[in-house]
Amino acid sequence: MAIFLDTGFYLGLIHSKDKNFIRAQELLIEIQTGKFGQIYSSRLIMAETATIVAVRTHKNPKSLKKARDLFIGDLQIATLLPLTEITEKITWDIFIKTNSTKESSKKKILSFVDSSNIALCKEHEIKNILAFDGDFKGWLKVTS
Amino acid sequence: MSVVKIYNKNRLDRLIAKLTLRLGRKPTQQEVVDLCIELGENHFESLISKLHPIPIFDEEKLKRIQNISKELKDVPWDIKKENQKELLNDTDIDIYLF
Repeated sequence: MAIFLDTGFYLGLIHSKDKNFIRAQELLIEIQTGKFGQIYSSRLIMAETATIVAVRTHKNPKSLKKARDLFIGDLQIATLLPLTEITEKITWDIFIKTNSTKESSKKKILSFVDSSNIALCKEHEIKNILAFDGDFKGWLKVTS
Repeated sequence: MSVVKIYNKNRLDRLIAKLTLRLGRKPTQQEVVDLCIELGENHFESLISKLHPIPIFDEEKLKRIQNISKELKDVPWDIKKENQKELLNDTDIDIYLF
């Protein structure tokens, strides 16, 4: 059993004014109990989170350091899965296929990072994703 | 020069076969292993996560993570796109504010 953490969860942990703050804190406690099993995320999620935190806090240095600690410091929550050549290829396949269908013209774009989340979960047999947005239905069980 | 046992020699052979196809020449085992060590040095965090894959998540860590938002309570959390645009270049605006 395992879960993949998306960007929105990390943002919710960092600032009390984030729209998902309360739910992120609740889920953090559940994660700590081991309810979801092993915890994973990726370096692309780290990249997204870092930039969004920098933008929303107006480059506040303390916030940037706290964000770093959640990924590669002593407050690291999840194992960060690297994108291998195979995962990159699967990511591209999902990204192109999902955004090229007739039905997709009426839907929002599935971002490359969200596509990589799906690819990584498939590769590592992770069935559950903790995400507050993104269209993962049909691919993964969404916890939010 | 030192002798090191490899658990799964087949994987090294497969890697060398793939490299041979791509390079058009067969690199030696020593050359490949030496470069893998260099890769490990350059991607140290990935190596760490392979050797110790599960970060420890105890009560103390939980409390410290919960404290982050308290420590940052006076920091702005600006979600107005107009303000955010001033902090990003054009490509990043497309990526993050689209």
